[in-house]
Amino acid sequence: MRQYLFTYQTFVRFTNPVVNHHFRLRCQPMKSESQRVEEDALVVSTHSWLQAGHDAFGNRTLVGCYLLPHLSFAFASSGIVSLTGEVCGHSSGNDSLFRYSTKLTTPTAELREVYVPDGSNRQKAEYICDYVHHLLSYRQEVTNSSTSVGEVMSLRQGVCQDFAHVMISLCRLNGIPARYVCGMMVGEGQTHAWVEVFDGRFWIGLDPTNAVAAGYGYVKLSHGRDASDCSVCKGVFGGNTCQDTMVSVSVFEI
Amino acid sequence: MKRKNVKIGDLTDNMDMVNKWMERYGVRFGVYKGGVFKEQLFPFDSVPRIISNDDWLYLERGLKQRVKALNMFLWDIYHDKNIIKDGVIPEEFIYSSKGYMPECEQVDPFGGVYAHIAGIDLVEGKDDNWYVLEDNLRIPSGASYPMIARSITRKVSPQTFSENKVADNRDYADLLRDMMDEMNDGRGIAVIFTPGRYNSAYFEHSYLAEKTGATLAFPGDLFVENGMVYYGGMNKDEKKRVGCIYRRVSDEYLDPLAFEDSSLIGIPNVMEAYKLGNVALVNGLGNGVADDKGIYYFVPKMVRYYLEEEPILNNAPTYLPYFREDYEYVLAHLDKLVLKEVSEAGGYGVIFGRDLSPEKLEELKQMIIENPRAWIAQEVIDFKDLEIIEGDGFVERKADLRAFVVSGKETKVWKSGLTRFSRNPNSFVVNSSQGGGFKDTWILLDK
Repeated sequence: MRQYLFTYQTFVRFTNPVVNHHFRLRCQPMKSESQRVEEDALVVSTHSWLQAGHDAFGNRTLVGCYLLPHLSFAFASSGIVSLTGEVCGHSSGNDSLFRYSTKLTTPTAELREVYVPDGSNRQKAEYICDYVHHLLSYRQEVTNSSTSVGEVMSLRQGVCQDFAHVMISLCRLNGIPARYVCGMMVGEGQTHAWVEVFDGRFWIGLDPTNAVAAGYGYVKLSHGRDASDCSVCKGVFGGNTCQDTMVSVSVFEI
Repeated sequence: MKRKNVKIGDLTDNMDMVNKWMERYGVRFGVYKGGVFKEQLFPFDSVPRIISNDDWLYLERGLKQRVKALNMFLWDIYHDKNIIKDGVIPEEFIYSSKGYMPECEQVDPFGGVYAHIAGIDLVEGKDDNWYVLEDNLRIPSGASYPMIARSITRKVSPQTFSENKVADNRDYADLLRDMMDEMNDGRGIAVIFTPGRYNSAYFEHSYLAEKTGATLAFPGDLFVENGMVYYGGMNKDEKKRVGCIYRRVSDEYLDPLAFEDSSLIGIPNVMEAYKLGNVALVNGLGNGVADDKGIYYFVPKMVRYYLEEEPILNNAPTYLPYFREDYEYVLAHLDKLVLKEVSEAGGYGVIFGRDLSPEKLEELKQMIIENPRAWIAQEVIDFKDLEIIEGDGFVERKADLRAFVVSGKETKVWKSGLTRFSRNPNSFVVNSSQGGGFKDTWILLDK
C-alpha cells in the first residue's frame, strides 16, 4: 500500500460576464477496493446550488449552478489516496455494458483484421496494450476530445485518450469487456487516460500510452464506455464571451 | 354518398371547406430537405377510416396489453434485467441499441411509467387481421391532427355527426391532462416543453398546450436549481416550480450536461432533478431501447414473459438476421421482403427488396452480412386500401393507423387515432415526413 497526495484545479476566466451557469463535475477520486480515499476535499467558487451524487457508472459527480453575472469559475479537488498497487477491482455487476462499441470507439476495418494470439482475457488485453503502444505515436494537438477511433487510425498519432480508445475498440472486438478510465498519474501535469479490462473476475488496469500496468501512481477519477462518459468538467452558460481555462494537476507519493 | 352503415356525403362534399379551415388554423408540419426548413400543410381527406365497435374493443384490449408489457420491460431493463438473465432477449440487443441509456439505470420514474404516451402503428390486412408495424414510445406525434380535424368537421358538417354514432374524440386533452396531473402529483405546474417553432411538430406542441392548459415552455424558459426544475416566465422574472414536463425534445438533447453537450435546446441538469424524483418527465427517458426496430421482434415474447398472457395483437411476420435460421432465410428471400434498418425512424431506412436491381440487392446483401444485427426483415403485408378523394372521384390508397395509448395510474386508449395514407399509388410508406395526408378515425358506438 502506498499513499499519494493529489490536487486537481481548474480556473476559468471569462472576458465578459456570464449568467445562468450550470455545471457538472467529475473530479473526485473514485472509491474502490484498490483505491482507498483517506481524505478529500473539494472547493467550488461562488455558486447558488451544489449537490453531490453519482452518475450511471458509479462515478462521483457534483452538479450545481450560479445564475448571477460572474467573470470567473474555479474549483479544486484534493486529497490523499492509498493504492494497493494490485491492478484489480471486482465485477461491477453490469459488466456487459462495456462489451459493445460506442460512437467514439467504433472499430475500423483495419482493426478487425488485427491478429490477437489466443489466451486468457488478461493475456489478450496485455498483447493489445502493447500492440496499440507500438501502433500509435504520441503527439499532442493533432486530436481533440471528440476524435474517433477511425480518425486516430488514419492519423496513427494521438494522446492518451486516443491510445485508450483504440485499445478499447480492439478489446471489445476480441470479446473482452473494456472501459475507459480518466485519472491522474505521478509525473503528469494533466489528466491521464487508461483502460480497464475484465478478466472474468476482476477489472485490470492497463496503460497503452506507456505500455505498463496501471498500478501504483495511478489515481482514478472515473470510468465509462469512452471518454465522453468521463469529462471532468462540463458546463453551459449564457453570455457573449471568450474563455480562458487553466488546469493544473499534480500527484506526489508521500 | 352512403358507405356501409355511415352517411358521409355532406362531409365529403365539403372537404375543401375543411381544408381551408385547417389552413387558417395553421395545421402544418415541418420538413427538413437538404438542410432547409419548410412547413407544409398536412392534407386532410374527409373520408374517415371507420372502425366497428367490435374491432375497436379488440384493438383496445390488445393495445393496453402491449403497452403494459412495454412499460414493464423498460422498468426491468433499467433495474434487474430479468428478461436478459432468463434468456428471452440477447443482451446485445439492449446494450448496442442507440436508445439504451445507462444514465437511466436504477432511476425510478414516478409510478413506474416510462411510456406515458405511446403511438402504436397498425395496419389492417386484407385477411381482416390487424398487425402492429411499430411501437413509438419516445415522443410520438400526431394526435393533434385528428383532434382539430374532428372539431372542424363537426362545425362544417354538423349533420354528419348527428346522423352517425361516432365516439367523441375531443377528450384527448383530458386524457393527457389527467395523466400529467397524476405524474405531477401536486409538485408544481405542468409544462409542454418544445424545441421551438422550427420543430416539425410545433403546431402540435402549441395546440396541445392550449387544449390541456399546460404552459408552453421554450428552451431557456426552464432551469434547474436546488435539484428542482423552475419555469422562469416570459420575462425570466417569475420562478414557478415545475412538477411535470411533457417534453417534445428527444432524449439526447434534453440535458447537455448529461447527454449531447452541443445541445442548445436542453435543460441543463434536468437529469439530476429527474433522478431525485423532483420532476416527472413525460415520456420518461431511455424509452428508445423498447421501440427499437430490433426489439419489436421481441414484444410478443415480452407480453408472455411479463403478463403471462398470449399476445392479443399480431406483429407483422418478422425475421432477425441476427439469428442463424432467420439469416439464411432473409438472404435467400431478399427480393420478397421489406428490410428495415434498426436504428432509423420515420419511414427512413425502409427498403422493399422487390424494388431493387440485382446489383442493389447484392449491395444490400453485403450490408446485412457485414452487420446482421443492424437489420430486420418483414414479409410484405398486403394491407387494406382505404378510399381517398382524388379530383371528382375516389381512389384506393395504402393507409395505416397510429393509435394513442395514455398511461398514468391506468392505461387508456384514445377512441380515435391518426390514419395516414400515401398519395402515391405505388407507395407503402405512409409517414407524414415522406409526404401523404391524413384522415379522421371513427370508432362506431353501435354494436
